[in-house]
Amino acid sequence: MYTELLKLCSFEPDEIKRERPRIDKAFKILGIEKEDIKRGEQRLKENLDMELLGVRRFLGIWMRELVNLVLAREEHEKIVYSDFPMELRPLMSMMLSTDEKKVYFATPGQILNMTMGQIFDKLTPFLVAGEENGLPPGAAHCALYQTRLGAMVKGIIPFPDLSVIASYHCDQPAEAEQLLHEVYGVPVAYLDSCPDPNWGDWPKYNDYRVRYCGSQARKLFQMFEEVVGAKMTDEAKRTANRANAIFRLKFQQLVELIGHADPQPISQTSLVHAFFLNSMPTRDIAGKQEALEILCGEVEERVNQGKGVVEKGAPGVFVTATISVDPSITRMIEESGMAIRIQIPNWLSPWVMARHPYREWADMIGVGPCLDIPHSCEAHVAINLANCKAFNVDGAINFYPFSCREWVPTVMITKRTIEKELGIPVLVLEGDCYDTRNYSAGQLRTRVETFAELLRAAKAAKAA
Amino acid sequence: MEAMKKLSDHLATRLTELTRLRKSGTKLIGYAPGGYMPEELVYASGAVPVGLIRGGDPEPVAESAAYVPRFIDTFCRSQIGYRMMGGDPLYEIIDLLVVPVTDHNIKTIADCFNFFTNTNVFRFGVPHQKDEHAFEYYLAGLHAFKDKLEEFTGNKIDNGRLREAIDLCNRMRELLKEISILRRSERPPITGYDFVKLNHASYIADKRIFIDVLESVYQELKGKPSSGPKGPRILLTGSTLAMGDYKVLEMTENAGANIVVEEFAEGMRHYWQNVQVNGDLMQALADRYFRRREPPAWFRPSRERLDYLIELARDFKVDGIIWYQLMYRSSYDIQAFYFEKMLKKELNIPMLKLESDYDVSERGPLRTRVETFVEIIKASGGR
Repeated sequence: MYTELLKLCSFEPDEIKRERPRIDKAFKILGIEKEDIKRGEQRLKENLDMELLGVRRFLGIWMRELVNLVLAREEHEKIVYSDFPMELRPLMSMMLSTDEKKVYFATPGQILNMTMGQIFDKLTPFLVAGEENGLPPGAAHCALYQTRLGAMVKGIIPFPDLSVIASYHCDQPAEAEQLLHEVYGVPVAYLDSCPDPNWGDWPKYNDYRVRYCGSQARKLFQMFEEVVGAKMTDEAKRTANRANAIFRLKFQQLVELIGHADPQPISQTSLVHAFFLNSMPTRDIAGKQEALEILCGEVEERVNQGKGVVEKGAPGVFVTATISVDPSITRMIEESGMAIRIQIPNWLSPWVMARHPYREWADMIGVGPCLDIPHSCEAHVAINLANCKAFNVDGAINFYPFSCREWVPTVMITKRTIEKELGIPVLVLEGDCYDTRNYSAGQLRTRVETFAELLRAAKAAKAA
Repeated sequence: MEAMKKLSDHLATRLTELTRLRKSGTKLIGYAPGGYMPEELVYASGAVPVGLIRGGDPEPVAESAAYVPRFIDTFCRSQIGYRMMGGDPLYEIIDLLVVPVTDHNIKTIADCFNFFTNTNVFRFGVPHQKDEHAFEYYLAGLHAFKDKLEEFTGNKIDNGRLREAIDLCNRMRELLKEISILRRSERPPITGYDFVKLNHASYIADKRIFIDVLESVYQELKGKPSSGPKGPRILLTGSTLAMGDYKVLEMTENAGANIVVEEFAEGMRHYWQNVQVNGDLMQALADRYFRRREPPAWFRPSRERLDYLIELARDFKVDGIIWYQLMYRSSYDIQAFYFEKMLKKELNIPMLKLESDYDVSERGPLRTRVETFVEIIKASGGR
């Protein structure tokens, strides 16, 4: 029943045949029925640039990970979980220090979002289970953590032997993992830091903050070695750093290529799968790099041919909605006739690429949480502004996830800053990156279409 | 009580006094009342600390919506609202706002004051666990704060002045502790409502006058025969108990129960621990304010706080716990889920979880729930 769907996700017939028993078993546990498959196929065709092989390759990686995740307990001795916003480099380094057959690594929340959410639109049972088991509704808990908790409690995915989580970017992951520890006895290792830079500090970071975060990274690796029984290797660290850098830089090139092209060559929804692999420790490193190279080539071809998904000359916007679960907001913006030049946090500011004075590997890991968006509200706003300037946009749409305690305080400050500094309008939309029950594209459509009209009129007036 | 009248008179003229001090060149240092800002450093720099702890009013919450969406802790939004509305002069006369950053809710106060007002703001970090690296981090933040105060006031903080300030604050905490401990008796000589108001006054009052008041209150209560009302004994805990947010206290005591002890992350001054002045004084402050401070719900491992609450409940022989949290303080919401089960297992006493957004319409349903809770305790053989 799922052959066509898997072909859409770039599975070869041989692989489908070989993997059928595993896929059957996983889909049965997940409760994926015929109508879900049909809906999945339809959603993919409606929302993504499915004619691009690069997009299909990325979808394949996520689908394989879904099956691996569900069967992880019976196929591996140990399971390690993490989730956004944990740094990928330490995760990959830990993963590559272990035997693939023995230890399974995943960011289960992201996998479920990208597959059960984006493809099948079937996340609600997990969210409800998460709400009933310690992350109640109506309190703006992070839906990413509700989903993963719910899936574990329902027995759809296994509880891990270790959870590795970051507390620097937002408060919720560490709080949710305390619950996992206290109620279900899961050991948790934290990458800790403090979001305490003073206004005016950006883009500097203080040494003791980096050192503290570095010390927490060392502690984390020690706990990993104790629980998993593996030794971190230098080779794994080198491979992880190299692979991460190569992928990130290529992704940056792709983002810039799309952002500066007119017309916009592909939908921004088609970039989401690649973007979230920046925080998902898949073992298929070669596969994800190859998918990215293919996608880059395909986009370049479209740019050269002048093909686009939005009319040439359309007003360009900066959008803050990299939504893994729901493509409808991004699609609606594009269908309203606006070219999404750039979506945060796809593009890295030059500062992130800068050299820093730290040589110890753990301290280098510690630098990450002290930079860019995790640095401060001031940095968050400055980066939004830098995005708008770099891509010369005509307006900005600040779609903010209301349950994100890091993001919420920046909303009005970002709006006022961009409007004041660049003289372009900013539309604020409220929603959720991980839970579609709290908003709908239809509800927001009138405002988006009005905003598009405003930008078109302003652009026409400017041209005249 | 004569002493309470003296305190009330003092508080009534405190704003005038602070304004006079400011005019004469004394710096006023406002701060977020999460228990991580050592007032001792402020006194030692010749400045005066002013805790910004007002809350409970719906208007500032509504006002804050123009500056920050609603999905931030209610108390934190209130602080933004009070400043923007301009109705409370305390929020406007401060020369510097100090925000020990405990989480993104508290950080939001600093961000909004920074961006939307001309207030000077200084932050330092509070890690979420207590290993040696975290201690060093907090200590480094305190040193940065000390440097900031010296630069801001133009006064050097020397050991002599710091020691004097520590002695002053230690004496205040000792007295608050002595008074609080009196509530262990079967019929507490002071109500929870009065104790909380006394505690709140400590954020605003002149320390020397306040200590005099506490001395008198303690002497009076100590000699007083236990005449307080009998009723179920309640531990009130939660995220923030702000000055002015007395609805749960009033409802509980009106329902015939006694709040005999409180434990809050913000708003209530922590008085159980004093600064131990042997050795380096900055280390001693960090030891008291970070290492030995009772941890809030966002600390890890969470067991330290929960074990402490159970100990407190045992020590004060409570019959039930009211867990009072504000909207969107997710750490408290999550911890309540497993604490209730733990409480049942270890002490077999009930817990009532209440949540507020400082909305007037909450009062009716809250009252019904509190009254029912007190009735249940009474019916099940509680006092």
